[in-house]
Amino acid sequence: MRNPGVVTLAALTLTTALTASAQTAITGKDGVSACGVMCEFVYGSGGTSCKVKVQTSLDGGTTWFDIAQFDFTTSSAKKYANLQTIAAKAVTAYAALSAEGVNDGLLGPRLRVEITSVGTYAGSTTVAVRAHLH
Amino acid sequence: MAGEIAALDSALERSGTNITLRRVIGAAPNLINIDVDARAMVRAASSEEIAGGIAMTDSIVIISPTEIANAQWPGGELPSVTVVNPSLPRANDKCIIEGRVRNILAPVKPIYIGDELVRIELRVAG
Repeated sequence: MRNPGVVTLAALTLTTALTASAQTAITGKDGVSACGVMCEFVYGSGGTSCKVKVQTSLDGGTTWFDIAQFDFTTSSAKKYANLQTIAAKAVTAYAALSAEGVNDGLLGPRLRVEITSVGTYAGSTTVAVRAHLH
Repeated sequence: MAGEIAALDSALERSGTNITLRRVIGAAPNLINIDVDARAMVRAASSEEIAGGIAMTDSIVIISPTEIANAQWPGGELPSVTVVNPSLPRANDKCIIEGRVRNILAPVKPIYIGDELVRIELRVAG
């Protein structure tokens, strides 16, 4: 793949509630075969819950599929997941993620993060999502 | 325009120095640093520039768009209707030169040939 390495999929301060707020996509990662994702939530104050979805697209950004979901509430946490397309995988019906977990085996050349938060976070509550693509 | 970028990349590889561009998200103590390493030409302000109002302690930094494009720095963010190009360094981004964190000052000067960004000139505080 071109330019393997670490990319930042999202880095933002949470304030007012977000509803499926899509960040701009990382593109051109043709040939990506594995992806380690680290999601760091640093809690300040306020808020109720925050759902961070990592998504991929195989059609140039028209359709996005959930590949990992990280859930947070009102405490700081660092969570990670590893996704790969190397090992054979049986045919699986795609289902959007509704709880923390992964849809492994599906990686396209575009990746983005979609954030949904409930309540108003304050105190410089931040979310950072970084991926190591190779 | 690939030729102009390649020429600048080559010159920076031969004669430049390693720097790190940093965008900082959040407020202390919850800061997120988004870094990209780059080659740069770093020089002191000329006498003409100082006469024009640039501080003697400021430095002029010339970088290529190559490393920024390769890293897709600063990564994903909320689409903006006010920021023309989020991957251009901007005022209050940081530039780490020889281990020292220095503040990027406005204006940042992107240089385009046609529609393609071929060079970025920055002024950093001393």
